[in-house]
Amino acid sequence: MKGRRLKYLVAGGIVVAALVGMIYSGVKESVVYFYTPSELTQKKDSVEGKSLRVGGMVVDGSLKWDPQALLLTFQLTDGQGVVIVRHKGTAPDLFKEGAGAVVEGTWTRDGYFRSSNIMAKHSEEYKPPVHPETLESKKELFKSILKEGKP
Amino acid sequence: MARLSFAARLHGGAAALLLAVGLYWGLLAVPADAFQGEVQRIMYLHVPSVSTAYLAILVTFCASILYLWKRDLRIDAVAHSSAEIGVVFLGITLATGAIWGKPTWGVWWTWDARLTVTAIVFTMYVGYLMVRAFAEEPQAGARYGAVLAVLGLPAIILNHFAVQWWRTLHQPSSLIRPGGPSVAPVILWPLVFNIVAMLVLYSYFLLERVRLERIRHRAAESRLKRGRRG
Amino acid sequence: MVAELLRRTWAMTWKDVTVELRARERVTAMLFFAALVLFIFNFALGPDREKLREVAPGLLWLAFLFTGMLGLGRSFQAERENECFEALLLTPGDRESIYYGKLAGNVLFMVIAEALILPLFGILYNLDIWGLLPSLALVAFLGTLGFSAVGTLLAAMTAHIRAREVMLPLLLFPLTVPVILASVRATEAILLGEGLGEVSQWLKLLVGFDVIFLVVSPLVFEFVLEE
Repeated sequence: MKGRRLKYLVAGGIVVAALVGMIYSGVKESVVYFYTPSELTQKKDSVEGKSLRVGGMVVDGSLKWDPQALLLTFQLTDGQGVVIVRHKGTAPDLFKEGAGAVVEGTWTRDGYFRSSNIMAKHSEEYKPPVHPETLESKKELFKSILKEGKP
Repeated sequence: MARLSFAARLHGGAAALLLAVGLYWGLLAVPADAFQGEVQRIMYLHVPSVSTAYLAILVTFCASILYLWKRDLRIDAVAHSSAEIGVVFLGITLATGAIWGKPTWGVWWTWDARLTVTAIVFTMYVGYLMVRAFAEEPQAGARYGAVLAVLGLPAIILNHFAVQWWRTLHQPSSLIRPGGPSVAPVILWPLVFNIVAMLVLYSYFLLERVRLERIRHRAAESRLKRGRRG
Repeated sequence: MVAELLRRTWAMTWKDVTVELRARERVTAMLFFAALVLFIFNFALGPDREKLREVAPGLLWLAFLFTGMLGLGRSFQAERENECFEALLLTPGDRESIYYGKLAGNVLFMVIAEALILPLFGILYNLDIWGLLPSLALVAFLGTLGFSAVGTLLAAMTAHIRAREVMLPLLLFPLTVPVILASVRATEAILLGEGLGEVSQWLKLLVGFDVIFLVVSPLVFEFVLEE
């Protein structure tokens, strides 16, 4: 009976050690959930044709909708780099100029990002509406959205 | 006819009252989130459901270990009941999450990390309930269920990391994170209140479900006795 | 004590291998099924080579796992059909030796099937995998080990319940999602020509999964077998 208890204790110890070890090594390695526009413009040659995600804020005034071709064109920025995105189809309700978005797709040779899926990204901060909406509050939202992608 | 005891009725009444107050507070009284708008209010149902579901699964895990040790079918009834309630709350979580996802992300379903893990956990515990239903005798069902629950916890943790590395879109948890919650107090308080209300509801369900199991057990025993006599 | 466990494990594995050598039921079925799966993929996907290259790692693992599932489902069948479960339980010593013995047999049969699937996959779909075989074999072995570690335990469990053919995959796949994810991602990176260093994170996850379930499964195995 004593031997069995020891067996369970050792087994429990190994399991916990393995889990902790993996969590620790997992935290150390940085995982990129999405590229920022400036990162993408830096390494666009190496990622051409590969399926990836880009996240940023939709540039004010850049959103164009062509109802004939069902083509949505807009620019994403992180404050430094800018990426032109073309998307066939409609966007989610929360997708608007000045808001955050993550797009999935590929970087094409013609200098734009062909998106197959738009996801409106919202911040993990929840607050009641502030009136009037200031530039400062927008900047804060942008910062909190970028932070999420880079844990 | 088995009537609910006074304490049980009080318990159930308290759960209903708390939920009614909490949902009124969250769905009508407080302002909606500035960015997301009205859809954000589904959070008052979504977050309490998911925390209750994971608590239920943790209870199942602990009760299962205890059952394998003590071999008391009453402890197994707790594990079984908690798993059943957990599956219901996971179902609510997935449904409300999808309703939230459509206007927010533009899709009903996306293979985001936390969504995926919740769906995996859901299938795991539906499997658990099926094994218990398909076992030929209650003792065997209890043992198989306990084994599955013991395997389940490390599997959930590993699933969490695997899927996390794979992809993520869901906003990081707002309530549990270093540096305190990032939810404005006016939105936070009803949320916390709803979580508490949901936990009271869970404890009510659990107690009653365990009681039902005990009655079922007694009924089976007396049937057995009558069979022998006749 | 360890030598004793190894001896008993070996006896159990050798029994299963001998049965298989005489009957040739399980491996034959697995190999034929694997070939068929690779054949069917072609019709499911159409002639687009580019698309195929993208989904190749996933397909390869689907073929591995479905074939493995076929083998796992049969791993306690012989004992059940011939009513030898009691005899199996009379094996002296700890029940762990039964688990490890069955596991070794399951891994062996799955590896044999994979050894056929991998080259056949390369030939049928014109993928240049020959130089990458060592690293692919490592990932395949780690993935197979984790999948079988959980699978052997669940096969023993589902042998005793109703609807067993359905219940085994239903229970096994959700539990082994980390293995599937890690194996497919690692295989993908290897096929793209990246070294093992690039996929170290996924390899760590595979090793961690294997260690955890190789420790937990034999311990709870005795609760499953109890009569």
